[in-house]
Parts: sequence; C-alpha cells; structure tokens
Amino acid sequence: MSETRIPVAQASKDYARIKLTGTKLRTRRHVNVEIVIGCVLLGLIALLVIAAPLLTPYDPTHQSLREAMLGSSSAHPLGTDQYGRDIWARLLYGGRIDLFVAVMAVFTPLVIGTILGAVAGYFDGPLPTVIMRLADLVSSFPFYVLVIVLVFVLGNGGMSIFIAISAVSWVPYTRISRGETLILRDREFIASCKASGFSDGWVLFRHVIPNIASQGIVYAMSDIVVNLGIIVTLSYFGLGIVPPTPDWGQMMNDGQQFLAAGVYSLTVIPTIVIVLISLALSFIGDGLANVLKVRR
Amino acid sequence: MTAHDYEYALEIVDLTIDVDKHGERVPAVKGLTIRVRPGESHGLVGESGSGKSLTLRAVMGLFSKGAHYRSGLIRICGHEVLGPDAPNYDSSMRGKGVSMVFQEPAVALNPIMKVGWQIVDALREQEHLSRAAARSRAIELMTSVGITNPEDRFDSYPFELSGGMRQRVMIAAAIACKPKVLLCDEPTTALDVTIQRQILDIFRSVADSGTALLYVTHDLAVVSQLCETLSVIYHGSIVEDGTLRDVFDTPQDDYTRQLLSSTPYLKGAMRAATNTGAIDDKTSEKGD
Amino acid sequence: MSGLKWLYIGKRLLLLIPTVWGCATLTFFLLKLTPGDPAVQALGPKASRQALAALRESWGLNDPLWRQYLRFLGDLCTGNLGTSYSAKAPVSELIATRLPVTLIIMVLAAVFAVLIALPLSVWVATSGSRVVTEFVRVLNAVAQGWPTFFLGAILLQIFAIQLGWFPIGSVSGGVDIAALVLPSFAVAVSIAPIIIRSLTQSLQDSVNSEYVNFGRAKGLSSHAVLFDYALRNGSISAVSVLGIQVGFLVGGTLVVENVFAVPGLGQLLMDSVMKRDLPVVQTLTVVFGIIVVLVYLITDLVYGALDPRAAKRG
Repeated sequence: MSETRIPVAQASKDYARIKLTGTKLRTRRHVNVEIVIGCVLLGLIALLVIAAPLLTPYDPTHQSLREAMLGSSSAHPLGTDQYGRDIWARLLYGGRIDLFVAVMAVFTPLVIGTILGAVAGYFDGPLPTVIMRLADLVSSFPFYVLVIVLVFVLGNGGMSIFIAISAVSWVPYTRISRGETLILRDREFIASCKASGFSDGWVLFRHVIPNIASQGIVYAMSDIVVNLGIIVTLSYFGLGIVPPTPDWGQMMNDGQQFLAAGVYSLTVIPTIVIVLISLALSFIGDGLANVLKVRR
Repeated sequence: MTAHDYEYALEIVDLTIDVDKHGERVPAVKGLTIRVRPGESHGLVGESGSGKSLTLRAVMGLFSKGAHYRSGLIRICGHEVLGPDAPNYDSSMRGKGVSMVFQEPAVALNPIMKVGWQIVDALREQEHLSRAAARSRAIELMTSVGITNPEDRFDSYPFELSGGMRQRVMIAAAIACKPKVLLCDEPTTALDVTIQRQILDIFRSVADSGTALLYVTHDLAVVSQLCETLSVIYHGSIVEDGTLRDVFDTPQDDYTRQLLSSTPYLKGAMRAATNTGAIDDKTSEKGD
Repeated sequence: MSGLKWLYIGKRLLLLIPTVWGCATLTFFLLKLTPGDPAVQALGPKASRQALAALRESWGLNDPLWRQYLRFLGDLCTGNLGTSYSAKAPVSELIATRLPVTLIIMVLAAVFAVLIALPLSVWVATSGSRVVTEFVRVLNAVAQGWPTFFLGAILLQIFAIQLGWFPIGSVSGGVDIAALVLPSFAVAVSIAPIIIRSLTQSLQDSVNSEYVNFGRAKGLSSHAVLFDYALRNGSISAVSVLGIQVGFLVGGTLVVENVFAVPGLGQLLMDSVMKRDLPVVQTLTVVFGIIVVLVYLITDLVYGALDPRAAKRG
C-alpha cells in the first residue's frame, strides 16, 4: 500500500511544479511585450465595439438618402454610405456580430477539438481511430468549400456560420492535442496517477488537458483571424450575416461599387480594423508561443 | 610553395573572445596564444567549456550567436584573417588555407546531398572542375581516407553511412582543397577505439604531407598518439605548453598534473616513448 | 529503381479510393440534411403536383436512403452526375469546362506565393536584424488579415480597370491566361504569410546548422552555402507546408474567381449555392475533395524526391 502512495506524492509534486511554472511566468518581472501590445490593441477594439451605443448617437441601420455619401464631418466622423448611414456607427455595431461569431467559432472547436484529441491520444482501441479518420476526412475538403456547403445546408446567418465553422475547424485542435497527449502519456506523473487508481476521466481532465491546452490556445489566436476572414467573406458574397444587421463584410461589399469612382474609404475602413485585429492577434500568438518555448 | 615566407602556418596571438552571459559580455578565451608550424600536429587539451572549441571557431570565422571577437589576431600562412586589420574575419583563406573537421559528422554533413559531392563541392567551385573530374577527385580522396568501394559510396547519403564512415567523409571533404592548416574539433570522441585509431592514422598522414594540425580534445591519450606539441587550456587561458615530452615529463602547472594523473596509463606509454624516442611506434604498439 | 517508384505511386493512388469514397459519403449525407424538396428546387414553385411527383420518382427520391446512397456512388463512378437545375446542362460538362481555369489559378498562385515568400524568408533568415524581422512580421499580419476579396477588388480596380494592364474575366470561347494573373496574385499574397513563417523558421535552423558551418569551413562561397545547403534543406519543410495549406489555396481561388468573374469551379460553386442548385453543389464538393487529396499525394511525392531520408522511411 505504501508503495502506491509514493508515486501519488510524486505525481502531485510534479503536477504542482508544472502549475507553479505557469503562475511564475505570469508574475514574472519581464512581462512579454508582444502579448501586452497585442492585448492592449485588441482590448481597445473590443471595448469600442462593446461600448458602441455610448460612442455614437446613430442607429447603424438608419437610412437617410439626403445624407448619402457625405465626407468626414463633426456629425459623421467617418462620413456616410450610399444610404446615408453613419459609417462610424456601422463600423462599431458591425464589429459586434463579426467578432462575437469569430471568437465563439474558435472557442467551441478549441474545447471540442482539445477534448477529442486528448481522448484520441490517451486511450487505445477503435475510438481514437474513428476520431482521427473523421479528422482526416474533414480535412480532405478545403475549409472554405466545406463551410460554404454547410451554410448552403443550414441557411444564412450568424448561427449557421458559427455551426459551419465549428463543424470544420475542430480538426487542427484535435491533431495538436492528440500529439501533445501522446507525449504526455508516457510521462511519469500520468503513469503514476493511473497506477494509483484514479479514473481515466479524472486523469484526463485534471492532469492531461490542463497541460496540453496551451498549444491549442496559441493556434486559436491565428484561427480567430481566419474565422473573421471567412465571416466577412461570406457576408461580402451575400451568404453570411443577413441584412439589416450591420457587418464589415457587407460594408465592404456596399463600398466596392464606388471603388471605380475613386471612393476607397467605404471598403478600406473596415479592412483597416480587420488588419489591426490580425496584427494584435499575431502579436499575442507569437508572444504566447515564445513564453511556452521558454517554459519547455 | 616550399619556401615559406612564414614560419608558422597558424598563428593565434593574444586572442580574446567574449561571450554573452546573463546579459553581460564576459571573456571566454583570454589572451590565448598558439603557434603551429607547417607539418606539425599541435594538441589543444582542456575540459568542456574551457574555450577550446570557441578558439577553433574563431580561426574558422564561425562565431555562433553571442560570441564576439575582442582583441588579438589570427594569421593563416602569414595572412591576417582576424585581427585589427580584419575585425570582421577575412574568409578568403577558408578551404585552401584553413579547414576544419567537426566533432559530429552526423550533423555536420548536409543531410540531403550525396556524400561524394559534399567532398568536392568546394574544390569544384574554386577550381571550376567538370563533373567527371570532380567525381574522380572525390573517389581519390575517399580512397585516401580509407573508404572502401568509393565508387558505390559516392552516391550514398550521410544517413546511409556508419559513424566512422561519415567521419572519413568529413575528413576527405575538409582536406579536399589541400588546406595548409587543418583544425580538428574532437573528431574521434563519438567513435569506438578501433575506428578512432584508424582515423588518427589518417590525421597523421595528413600532417606528414605538410599540413599543420590543431587538434582539440579532452583526451590526453589521443594527444600522445598524434601530436608533437601541445597546449593545455583552462578557463580560457593557456596554462602550459611545450613539446609532448616536456609537458608529460615535467608538467609545470597543477591543472596539467591533475590531467596527467587522471590518465594513469599515459605514464608508462610516455616513458617508453622517451626511451625509444619514437612516439609513433609506441602508439601503434599500444593499440595492438 | 524507377519501377519501384511507379509501384509506390500506384499504391498511393489505390489508397486514394477509400479517401474519395469517404469524401463522397460525407458529402452525400451532409447534403441530405438540406431543407426543402429538391424537386421543387428544380422545377420551381409553380410546377404541377404531377410533374413534381414524376420528377421525384425518376430521381429516386422516394427510395430508401441507402438505395439513394448506392445510386449516388454508382453515378459518381460512371460519371453520370445529373443535371444542373439552373443551367439545365449536365453537371459533368459544367465542371469539365471550368476545372482547367481553377487548376491554372491554383498553380499560378502557388508559384507566385513561393516567389513572394522565398526572397522575404531569405532576407529575414540571413539579415539577423530585428527591424527586418519585425517588418516582415507586420507585412505577414497585414497580408493574412485583409480579406482576399479586398485585395482582389483593389487589384482589379487599379491594374485591370484603371491602368488596363490586364484583361478582365473571361474572353468568349476561352480564358486568357493574362486574366488569371491578378486573381492568382491575390491568392498568392493570402497564402504567402504561412509559407514565409515556416520557411523563415527552417531557414534560420539551417543557416545556424552545423552542416552550413562545415560548408563554410570547406571554403564554399556564401552564395553556394545559401543555395545548395540552407535553401535546399529549408525548402523541404516549405513544400509540406504548401501542401497542407492547399485548402486555403482552394479557398482563396474560390474567392477571387467570384471577385474577378473568372469562370472556374469556385464561381460555379458560389453561383450554385446562391441558386440552391443541389446536384452541382454535391458534385463540386466531391471534386474539391479529390483536388485536395491529389495535392496531398503530389506533395508527398515531391517531399520524397527532395529528402532522400523520406524514401528510406517509406
């Protein structure tokens, strides 16, 4: 009996050490500059979008043809579009649904994919094979094609896009998390947890998943950018967010016809915001990756 | 070419190299001086981290990240490659002037290039050899370093060869341009004893052909088999140098004495060598 | 030796069969979830009940699901892919005329992407300057962040419409390759960042590697070391990354075809989705799956040719 107790102590100590290095990094003197820059930028954009009603008096869907295509003024800081809608208001409100769907459609596959990958890496037998074969199958379709086909099946709208993206993009998370789990599985503290009679589920959720989640989270940062891209693309082509709900993709589509007339702002303004978000997330992603590299 | 306008093929004078450590620059090689004549094999002995590999890399101009030249100079065949007149390393001597055999052939050979071409690619580039001429030169070189079936081995990739074979390939590549100075960075550490002896024989014949050898190792036994002169390096400084016999018989420095006493079987070997005056004979006996 | 190679390729091609079968199966059941009656979609809301019933019967929509599934597989094998609701033409014909256009864009885009990525990666890997690294990093984030359709629209506006350097869309009776340059370039810019990231990483590894050091020690020129040693080794991983990213290559192609009105598979897919043209969407999904799987195979073969160690591993 005492023989089994020693590994448990060992295991919890090991685990404690891993958790400890995590907290240590967070309170470390040298805070990762990249993460800070990225978070500030992203936080600012998120704040603007959330606080939209406080930042503009206009209804983003309110049309006023007499005020169409106005330039920048004190009343309309970014001008108006061809229906006389305030662009600043549309930009703020449009970000709400785009960002919300983009983030949700990363969070859900991150969770599902990580769990599936951990299961596939932790257990033996037919279940892992089924999961990985399904992953192979889904990844033999181009991401855009499968999402568009799913939107075809489910109909337009934010909810469909969310489901479509989630149904496709769990695959990389599953692969990442399975790879990490396979490495972790052979480590001593997992073996000793199993030896001391903890249930597989407990080991999986208490020890495996907390230790493997980080790589998936790093990947998720760039995935948000990909999602944002496909959401605005679908909306741009009229397959995404249904009007009158404002969104960046439609704004760009609305503005495109004026490119020929030399009016770039309608298309360029939403793009700048998207690029800033992409920049922020790439900073956060690289920063996280560096922190993790140090930890390894 | 026989009448040298230089006495030493390799001259390292008062060399100091800094490395970055915890955000500061600290000297890792401190005022090191080594001189090697043409045809002479000089051993540089020290423990790992003593700065011996860093010295070799400096001679080659292959500073890794965080290593910086501070002062001193390096001359190859009288030509200053690193020093006040060439602070950024003059790479013109690489190949024909100086070349180097690395410690780990497994990582020092290009993994996706046929070994035959790796042996002669530098020669081919410098002398504009045709494919056929380069190939036959490579096969000659492979034969000279004891590679059997060189025609077949020419088309092998490094991962298809054994450690000893890879090391022979690397030596062949390093001597392809007939360098005046050959640097060796513990090239036999990863090999078993019989292969090690064969490799040392190759180095001896390279030295006999007039090439100056600077042989870095932590193993005094290897030095006793190959070198005529040696320096002992400790914490970046030379603590002792001289001929093999002087250093082995009358070591002046405590560190050298410690080194010698930790290699007990050397004593007997050296005494015998002193008696016969032929270290070469002795070492071949010892290997048998 | 070459006989063995062909045997290997043959084996890999055989292994494609179950993959393609899987793709077809997933597509079939996925699209069975589509709400609405295909017969109504095909004939329009004003069709008579008799006509609808007759069409349902002739399409076998009243059969049990498994029989429909088997018939679908059989039709795929025989190339009998049905008729487009909207174009009233055989699906196989629609796809056959458009496939080459899409393939040309994909190949051009891949080539452009490499041409963009290579110099930038070499620049970052060899300069060692923090400024260069950060500059390319921001460039990457911008290229990855802006939607491909945005870049496409801007390129179209400036270089095709205003400057008139490139023709627009399709020329009747065929497609002008020159009209595909801008769309391909837009796709290339969107996938270049991924290649730059991985190529820079592997180039940095190779530039700092011992075999590059040894190459220098042997007396090779820095030019030879960079190209024969660092770049050749670094490109191996880039090839596999390019292969894995084929999904995004196809996605980008799909987008730009619609922006530039190029008659390729992507435009057909988008069109058919808008018009709810089920037979076309169904077949296209499978076709896109096959394209991806074939590109994976080609990538593997190229990888094997570039890296002698891969052949050994089998």
